[in-house]
Amino acid sequence: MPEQSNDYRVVVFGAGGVGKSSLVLRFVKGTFRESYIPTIEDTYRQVISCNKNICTLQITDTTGSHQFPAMQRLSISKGHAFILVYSVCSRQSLEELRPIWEVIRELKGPDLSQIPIMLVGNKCDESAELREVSTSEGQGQAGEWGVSFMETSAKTNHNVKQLFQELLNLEKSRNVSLQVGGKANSRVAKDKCDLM
Amino acid sequence: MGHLADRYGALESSPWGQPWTRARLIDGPPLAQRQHSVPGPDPRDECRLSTNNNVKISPMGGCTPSQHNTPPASPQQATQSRRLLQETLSGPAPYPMIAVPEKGYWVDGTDHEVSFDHRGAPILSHQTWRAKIETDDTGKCYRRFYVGREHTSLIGTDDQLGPVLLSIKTENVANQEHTRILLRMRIGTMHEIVPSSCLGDSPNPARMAKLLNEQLNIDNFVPVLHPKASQLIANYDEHVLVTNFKFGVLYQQYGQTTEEELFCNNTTSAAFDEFLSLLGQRIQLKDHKGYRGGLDIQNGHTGDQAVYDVFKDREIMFHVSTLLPYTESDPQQLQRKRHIGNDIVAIVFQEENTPFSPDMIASHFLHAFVVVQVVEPNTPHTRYKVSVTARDDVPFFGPTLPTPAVFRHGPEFKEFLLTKLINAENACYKAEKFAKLELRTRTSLLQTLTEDLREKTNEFLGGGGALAVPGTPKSDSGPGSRFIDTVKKAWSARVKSSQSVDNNLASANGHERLSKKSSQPTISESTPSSGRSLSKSSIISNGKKSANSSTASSPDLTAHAHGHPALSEASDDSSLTSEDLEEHLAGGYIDSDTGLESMSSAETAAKACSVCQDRPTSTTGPSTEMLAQEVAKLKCDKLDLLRQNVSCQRDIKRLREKELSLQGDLEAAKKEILRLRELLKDYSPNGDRSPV
Repeated sequence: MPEQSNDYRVVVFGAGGVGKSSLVLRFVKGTFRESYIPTIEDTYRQVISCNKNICTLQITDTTGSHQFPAMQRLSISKGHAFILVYSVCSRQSLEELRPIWEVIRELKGPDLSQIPIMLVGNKCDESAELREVSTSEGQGQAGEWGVSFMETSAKTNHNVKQLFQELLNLEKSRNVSLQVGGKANSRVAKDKCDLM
Repeated sequence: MGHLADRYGALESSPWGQPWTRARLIDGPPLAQRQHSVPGPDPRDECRLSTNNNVKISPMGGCTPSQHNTPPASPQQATQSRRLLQETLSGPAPYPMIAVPEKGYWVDGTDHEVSFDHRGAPILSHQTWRAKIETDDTGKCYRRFYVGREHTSLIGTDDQLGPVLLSIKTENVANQEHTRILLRMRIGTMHEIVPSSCLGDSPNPARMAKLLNEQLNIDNFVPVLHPKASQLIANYDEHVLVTNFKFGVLYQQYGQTTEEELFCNNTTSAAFDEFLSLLGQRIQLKDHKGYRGGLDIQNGHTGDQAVYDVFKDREIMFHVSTLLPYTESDPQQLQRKRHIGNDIVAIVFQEENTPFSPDMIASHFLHAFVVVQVVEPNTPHTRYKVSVTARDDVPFFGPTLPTPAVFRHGPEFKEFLLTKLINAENACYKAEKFAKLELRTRTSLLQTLTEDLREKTNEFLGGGGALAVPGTPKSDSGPGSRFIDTVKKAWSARVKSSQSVDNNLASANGHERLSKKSSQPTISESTPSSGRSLSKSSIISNGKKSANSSTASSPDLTAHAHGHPALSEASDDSSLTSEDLEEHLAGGYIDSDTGLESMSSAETAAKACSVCQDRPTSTTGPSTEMLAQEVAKLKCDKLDLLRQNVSCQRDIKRLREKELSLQGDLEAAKKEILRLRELLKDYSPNGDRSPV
């Protein structure tokens, strides 16, 4: 689909199998799929409110493979906000985010602090013995990079809505919110976190 | 099997959105409401299932009957694939190596009949195939042929086909002048080298572009001028080059019909190890310094070992399923599938005669499989039957399988296999899913590049707006004079009035050179020497136009004018600085070839001088000034045209000579034919008509 100027583009990065597609699908459709089917690239669109106008939230679910560096760089240059996902059960998946983070830093340069970026530890529903990255470690990593942090579970639907909500709240240059207009217009300005 | 049904049953609605990008606008009730809705198949979702592969499966179970395509191994398909394999297995042995689904995949290599000699050894053909790697090397052309050499790059825009970046240069091939053309559009890059005569009498970029792509109609080509342009262009071209590869290697035992079984194979075998040793080197990941293909080389999270090879300057990492970590509690074996499932091409090694089905494994990436079945493993007669399958939209890739498609264990087989894998991946990039992504990436990159180059060119030339405007009507002297105008503007500020004399002379002489140059396609150079070429033309043009802008002091002019200051034919970069011009003028030698030009130029110079003489100061009213300018300009234009005339005549002369020599050849050939006919008559005495 051709890109519009009032798109708000969120790009989801992370190693293979961490749950990127699951998070996005849980958010967009409210469903969860247990079976793992590697994605090449999928894009979902959703109408949201932006400065009290309608705009389109575009979520790009990317590949966990490192197959297409040029495409990855392009997604980063065009993106407005980023979600970096790792699995709390895989330390390697957290390490794999580093090169992606570095490209974001390179391409976004001085504007970096203005860009909403969320480090997400997914699969937090898993049992303790399978966990390889503790919550405090994840927080520490986020602090080191200067990004926000959250742990989620697409399977149990924990913190998924909050993830996207919080991400949009981080956007300072415009007022983006999941709340769409209509009869809730008067409430939009008052409390952005209020989803019906 | 219960847990499998549970898992597939848990799929509420297919997550696939619109075709291909799977983007869909969700309008209507806000998200929150949607999330509270009863989970169940959303009829709208069913209608929007992805068409991103060609596999069509009739709807089963509770799905809506509308025509839809499901991606590989969504629940319906996994069950379908398993059913097909079980059916195949229930029949008599031997089984085909690949059980092809009804639609969506092609298969190559089904003949494995081998005959045996008297000693019982299999008779296998010698190498009938060529180990040629099928890559498109267009991405390397620019750096190889253009960078560091004199060439021109131009940007244009076609209404339909978008921005176009053209790189051209002339070369001498077999004593004939050729033009090398590299044409970049969003749909791809084309490269051709054609004899310059194919481009007609007045070659121009629009014609060159049209030669490579008929549909191009561009009248707004502008040159690229920036010292860093080459680097940016080379980077763009090279973004498509792939030198690292990663392939999956799966191990299939007899009777295995699901992907879970494949990924859960935890024991290797002597036969499989023997095969792996053929593919490449067994390496320790923690010591590995080369391409790692996504594997962990620090902490052992993806196993301790892998198989790796360097083959024809390409690094290949193999994701061997049995070498990746096994997770007891995970039936999907995510730690294995996340590597192999993200590979585009995979090998399936079959320990025994059993069928494999390409849609067994659910993945959007996997597009092609090379299935290898071992016969008499770990013996002197170890050999492998090979069969290949790929999705319908993957074009054929070589090398061609021999008949029968059986190989002895050995280096020949390795070469075949690795070449086949690399070619498979390159072919898969042409499949719909990948091609669309690449088109999108390329379109965006080209757009950015052309905008960038325009901007940089403008900056470099001091912000003169002329170059940025496409489609301005051509002035009578062609694009050359437009360029001159801009360059003149950029440099006029820097010319001191005391140089006016030299410049006036330069205008006469240098203009010859400029005209000579503009009769050839190269207007400017985008190599690092562009700075110099700028100064070249600028001094010339500046001189031409500055007749009025500075006080003209005439005495020197008359003194030099008689020297017929014609400069040498061979355009030598270094000779066109103002100091050098002075030298030449002082020397005052005449080049006989340019007799015509030098005369008219002298004439012009004299006339120009007289114009200057008429106005020792600039106080004579603006209108006379303007007229004088006009006259000077027209004279230079006339010179231009005379130039072009001369070069055309030269071309005609050359072509006539060629025609003569070809006629000569033709005569000789005719004579030869006659002679041979005579001979033939001598040898067939019965005088019957010869067929000649």
